[in-house]
Amino acid sequence: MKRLFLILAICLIIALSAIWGYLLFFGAPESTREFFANFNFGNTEETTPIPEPDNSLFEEGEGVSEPTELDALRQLTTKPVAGYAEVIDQASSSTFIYYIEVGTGHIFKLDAITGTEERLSNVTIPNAQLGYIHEDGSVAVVQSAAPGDGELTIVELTGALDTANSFPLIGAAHDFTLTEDREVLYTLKINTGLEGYSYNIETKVTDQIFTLPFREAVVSWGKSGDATHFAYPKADPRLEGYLYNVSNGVLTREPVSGFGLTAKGNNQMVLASKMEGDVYTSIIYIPEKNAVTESNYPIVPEKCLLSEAVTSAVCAVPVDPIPTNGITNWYKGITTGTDRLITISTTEGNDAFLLLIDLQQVSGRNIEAINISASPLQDKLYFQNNLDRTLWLYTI
Amino acid sequence: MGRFLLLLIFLLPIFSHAQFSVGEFTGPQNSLVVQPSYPGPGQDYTVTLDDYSGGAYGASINWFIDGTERVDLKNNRSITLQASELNTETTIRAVLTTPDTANRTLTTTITPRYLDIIFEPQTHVPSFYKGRALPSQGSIVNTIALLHGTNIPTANLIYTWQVNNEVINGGPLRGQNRISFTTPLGDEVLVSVQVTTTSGEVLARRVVALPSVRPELHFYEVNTLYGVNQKSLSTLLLLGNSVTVRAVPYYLDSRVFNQPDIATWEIDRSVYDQGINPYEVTLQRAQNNGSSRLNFQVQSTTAFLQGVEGSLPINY
Repeated sequence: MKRLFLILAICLIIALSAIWGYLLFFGAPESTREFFANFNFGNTEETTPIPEPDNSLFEEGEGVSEPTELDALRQLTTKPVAGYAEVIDQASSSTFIYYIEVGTGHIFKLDAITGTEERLSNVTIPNAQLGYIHEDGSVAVVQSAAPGDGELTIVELTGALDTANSFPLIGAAHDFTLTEDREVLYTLKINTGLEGYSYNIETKVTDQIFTLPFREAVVSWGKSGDATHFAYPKADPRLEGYLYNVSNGVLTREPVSGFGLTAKGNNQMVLASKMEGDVYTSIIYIPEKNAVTESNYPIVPEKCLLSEAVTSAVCAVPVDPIPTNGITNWYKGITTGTDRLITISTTEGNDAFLLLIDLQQVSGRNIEAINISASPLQDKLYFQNNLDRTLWLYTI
Repeated sequence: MGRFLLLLIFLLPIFSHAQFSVGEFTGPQNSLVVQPSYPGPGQDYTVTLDDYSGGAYGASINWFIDGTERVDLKNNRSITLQASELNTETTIRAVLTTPDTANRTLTTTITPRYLDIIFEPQTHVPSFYKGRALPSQGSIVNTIALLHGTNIPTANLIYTWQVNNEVINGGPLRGQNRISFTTPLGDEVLVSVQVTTTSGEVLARRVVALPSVRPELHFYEVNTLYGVNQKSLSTLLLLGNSVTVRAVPYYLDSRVFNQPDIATWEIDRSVYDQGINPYEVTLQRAQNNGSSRLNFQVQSTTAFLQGVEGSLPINY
């Protein structure tokens, strides 16, 4: 009896081995579709697949999100970014994103399509916090230490990592920017106010462009040193602010003022916000017509990108209403929120608003958009999430 | 002694006149009262017939703006107008006609100007803070007055400053559009400035209420590589072995901030030694898990309102 069981077991093993051998060499399905279709469970009719939520966009970790055609909104970096620019490579006509890493000041070149990146500059700028990269990718200006009062360093990007060159520009700059004409515009505090300078990177010539009679100022820079700039005292809802324009060194008062005034503008249009009693209100000012109209939508001007050509802007506006001391608490980092991206266009005093995207609704997480910029073709918007300073892309 | 007191009572108005010159703080001497006295460009203002004597009883009133009669305003004792553009003069004339007396004409002129008062309190805010500091009791406030709408250089204008109705720096000051004062006690400070020409013509005047606040404390995490995380901490989750926390006392007098008499860190009410920077502390994980409370206090020993204390729960 025992022997019989042994014989049966050996036969069973041989049979199973034969089946396994057949399946191994001859029975493999040609495609996964064929393999699963063979089960014939339930309805086998093909249906349109429902795309899975693309959670990879929002996962924490190294590397960038895997791009697909569905990714209108994409997180480009997981590292905090001090500044960035879209750069078109002249040789290949490919588009890259150059960005400055917070803390190190290292500059990276990111391919938004493939997600690959390479380091362009290994010049370390300790505690780099804010920077600008020229749109041709040839030079960057980086501020170390705290934004607003740190030293500026110019980094020349020659293409090869080991040839990146840097030199300190000045001492502690208060406000600065980098223009298309490769000028660094910056302000320095003096005892009686604030002085504005332009530094030409090509000629290495510094010119004083204006003097403000007060020290605690915010400057909304024009396109170049000799363009019109706007300035106002730093905001607090309990202090009155006034808007000035500075052109050819002359300070002119604009008809815009109010408690907690903040503004951003160019020759075409100025967006400003202030407190009217306990209500946060926004206005649109057209300098050419000297016309001030109240906006129907509360705007945080610092979170807007103004068009240079027409009276329109893209703004990140908070989903939640802005409370009385909302801006102050936002500056202090006490309150955080989430934004929508909208466009504003104004003609003859009528402003029109168009919702582009609700960032929270699409991404599933809180995003406060700051430092918005547009691609040259105006088909892409780049911005940083103020909550972690990561870089994002929204394809319109 | 009685005679001396009587004499003192009669002489008191003379002393007060020296501080509050009538000529400095009253409007043009006519019977049309403008409110606000010196409107800015585009600002609404009212012109009221000042008839405290009742002399205009029963009179018809015709209003003329820059020589053109405004029929719609006829017989109004108070009219509201919008100020013209910067430095553009508007003449307002009211003609009073009564059956038994001759016509009387009252005239005033309005020249809109901007008089901006900018406060720069010398209290602490961190350099990443994009807003302006607010004053706290005892702190210095630098103040600048900017007059727009006159061709007279600042050096040739006379500025009279008052803080809480007290003339400061001794009286009218030529070319002094900047002053500094110490924030007095109270929630609000009234600051006024009047700008006149050397001949005494008042060009503009403004009164502004400046808030005075108590210092407030917020905590921020400092990352070795990335610097200060600009999000204020309401609670701290210690994930690694150590963390550096910075205490930021907003609106603390800068002098106290720079040289604090007391700056103390405590963990669960036990004093914790800080490093070189009195506002930063680096915490090391002592146990696998638990919770503690981090406390910080900064205080001046000479100005008791110049101080602030706060705490931060830590979970690890």
